[in-house]
Amino acid sequence: MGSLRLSNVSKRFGKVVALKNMSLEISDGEYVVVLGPTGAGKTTLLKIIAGLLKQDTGEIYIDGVKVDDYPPEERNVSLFFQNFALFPHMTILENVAFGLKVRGYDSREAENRALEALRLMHLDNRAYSYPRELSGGMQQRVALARTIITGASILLLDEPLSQLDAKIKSELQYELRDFVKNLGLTALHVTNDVEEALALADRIAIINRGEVVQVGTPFEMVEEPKDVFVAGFMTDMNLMEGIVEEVSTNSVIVDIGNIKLRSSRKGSFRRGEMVIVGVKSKDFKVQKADGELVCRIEDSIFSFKYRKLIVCFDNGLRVQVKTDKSGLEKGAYVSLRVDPNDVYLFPCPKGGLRAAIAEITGVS
Amino acid sequence: MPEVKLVDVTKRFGDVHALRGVSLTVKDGEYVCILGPSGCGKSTLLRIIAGLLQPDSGSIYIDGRDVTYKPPEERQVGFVFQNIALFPHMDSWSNVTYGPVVKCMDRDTAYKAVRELMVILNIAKYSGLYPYELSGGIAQMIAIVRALATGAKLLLLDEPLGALDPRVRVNLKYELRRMVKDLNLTAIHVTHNQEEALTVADRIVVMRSGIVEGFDTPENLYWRPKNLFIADFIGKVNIMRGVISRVIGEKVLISLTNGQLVELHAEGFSEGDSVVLAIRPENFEFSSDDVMQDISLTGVVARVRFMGEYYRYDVRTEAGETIIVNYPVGGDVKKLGEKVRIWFNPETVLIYPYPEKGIEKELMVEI
Ligand SMILES: Nc1ncnc2c1ncn2[C@@H]1O[C@H](COP(=O)(O)OP(=O)(O)O)[C@@H](O)[C@H]1O
Ligand SMILES: Nc1ncnc2c1ncn2[C@@H]1O[C@H](COP(=O)(O)OP(=O)(O)O)[C@@H](O)[C@H]1O
Ligand SMILES: [Mg+2]
Ligand SMILES: [Mg+2]
Repeated sequence: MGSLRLSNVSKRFGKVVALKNMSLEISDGEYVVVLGPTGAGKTTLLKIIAGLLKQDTGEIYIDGVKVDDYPPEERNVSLFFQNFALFPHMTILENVAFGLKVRGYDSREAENRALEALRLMHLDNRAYSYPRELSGGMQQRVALARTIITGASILLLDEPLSQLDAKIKSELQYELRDFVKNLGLTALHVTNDVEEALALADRIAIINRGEVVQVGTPFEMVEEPKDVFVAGFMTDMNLMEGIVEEVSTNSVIVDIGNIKLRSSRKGSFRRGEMVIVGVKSKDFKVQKADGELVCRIEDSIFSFKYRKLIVCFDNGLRVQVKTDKSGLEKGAYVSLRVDPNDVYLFPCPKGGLRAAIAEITGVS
Repeated sequence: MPEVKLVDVTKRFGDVHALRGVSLTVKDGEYVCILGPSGCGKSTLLRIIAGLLQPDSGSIYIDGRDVTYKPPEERQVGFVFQNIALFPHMDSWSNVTYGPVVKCMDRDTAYKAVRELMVILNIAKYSGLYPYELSGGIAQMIAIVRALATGAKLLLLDEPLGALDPRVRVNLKYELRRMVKDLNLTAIHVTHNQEEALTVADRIVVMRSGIVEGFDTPENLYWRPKNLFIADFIGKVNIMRGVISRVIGEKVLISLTNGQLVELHAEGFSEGDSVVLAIRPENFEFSSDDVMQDISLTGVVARVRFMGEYYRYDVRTEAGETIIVNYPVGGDVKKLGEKVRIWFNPETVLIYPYPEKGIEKELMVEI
């Protein structure tokens, strides 16, 4: 058993509000990923749940029991530290088996389980090496193996894949999910990497500045982002400032500096209102220049099976377009099309679009 | 806009062969990435180019001049590390002008050049801020300006985006490329991230265990990789084994281990050769029963993940192999346990001789 509930948890460090009224529910056996930029409060959250840090207000329930006064070892959780450390004088196998032995497993049983976890991490062939003989990414996998076999029902994983080479990570993430699922464990995994969140999560909670912005399945987060922050974080959406020009029953026409786009997505907007228009790069279709939505190809960037075009309109608006069409050369004029269903509309963020994008991408 | 040429460079640390005879030429104005798994020798190579490390043998030429035994200051290079190393007690402006000041360069000219750089990179507004007040992305841009402040035209970047959030990385890499091109620099950028390398570089050096496995454009590495290691390292591939059963002009008929026959364009093979076919997950299609393709496999969906722009399916075939299929969002969604038929366009198949040391060894990224 391993359900987890946070109710209005807040934490400050002096003037810094690390967590603000955070509520989150995780069912037994669920894999939840908390996704957010560095500084969003992810580590603080895990430390509070693990009992290593005390929240200022709010409660934490594990399996329905309030655990705020329980010491870490009585919370049925296993924490993977972002800044993990291995015992330098123990072999890899001993490192992984250590916790089990401390908990009273006989050493044969502990080592068998440790080997199984190392196999999952593709490190069984390094069982008798010492930590210093392994790369940073390998050491991280050892620490992860150690965390997932402690016998606790709830895993708290703080960026457990951050040091892995992209190539290794891209497969390991799926295997990690399967392993956790097969053992029937509950996982709360925090990361700043969207691909990792999609690969692993049953549900994703996006947090920013200590607050939950949106919670949903990976599909909901990508297809129904509720604001500019979620859209910009989860997808490669082109985000543009526009003004609602016409409102009819099923659609809205927005004007983006004389470029008109129709949106048929739900939402209530008033004529004359300033909105943020979002279109994913894959949803712009490129065709021969025909007078409508004409733009010039400024750059064409390799994007695996596709190409990413940077196109510029007469009014200076620049957007990214993903296409599998070939023969689109720099300097050429093309027309874009987009299905009104793929045109997202968001309320204007308080500090303006530029500030919101800077918050997501870290560069303005 | 310097050209960099390495001839047969080797370097050992004790019994570790960090570089085993690396030769390559980076052209004037080119943006080159050095891509490879951790420990393959990327940083060693970069440090040797910078003059921070001496090779055991081989030579380094910058603009045709042999600099093998020249100290870093005589190579006119700007070096940026993964761990942003700004002076914490100085504001951005003092950080970026530190080099010119120490070198007693002409102040007016140097300051003017630095200011221009900051304007081009859109970071002039951060001049008065201290490192702790900057986001990671901005701090790294300041570090880059500092590296270029003394007039270097060759920019060496060692995992410059490695310490940043993935979402920040995506944007910053385009900024980096734009800057290098706008300023007519030559850039050599080390990374272990495939996507970063492929989307930012003009050409990519693929390294493994101190050896250059390939040096080519992103398009060629992706569509026409010259060996199985590169094919797999650049972006996942599904691998099928087979034997050439007939050579017909420019085509070969391959009999796959699962019993199926495929006809492909391929040269240089003879009857009886063992081969491997490599097919990228994004090049599989699902077919309905009424359309019969030349080659198709049936199997059961063993795992489904929604990955944003595509679904990733693990399909367990009747022969017991697992094939990964990445299928764009928009079509039918397959369900766990569903029986499916998949096929591929023979044009998208890569074919290689069966590796002597076996497939697993051939693909191994870690030593
Ligand atoms: N011990 C601490 N003292 C002061 N500030 C802290 C401390 N721990 C975290 N913070 C601050 O709280 C915020 C959230 O930090 P953290 O939980 O580490 O975020 P994340 O893990 O998402 O990067 C940050 O602004 C951080 O600087
Ligand atoms: N100063 C050093 N002393 C001993 N071994 C080193 C030193 N620098 C690098 N190595 C070894 O050389 C190999 C290549 O290292 P490096 O160039 O840092 O790889 P990369 O940058 O590709 O991760 C590794 O096996 C590393 O452990
Ligand atoms: Mg953290
Ligand atoms: Mg390195």
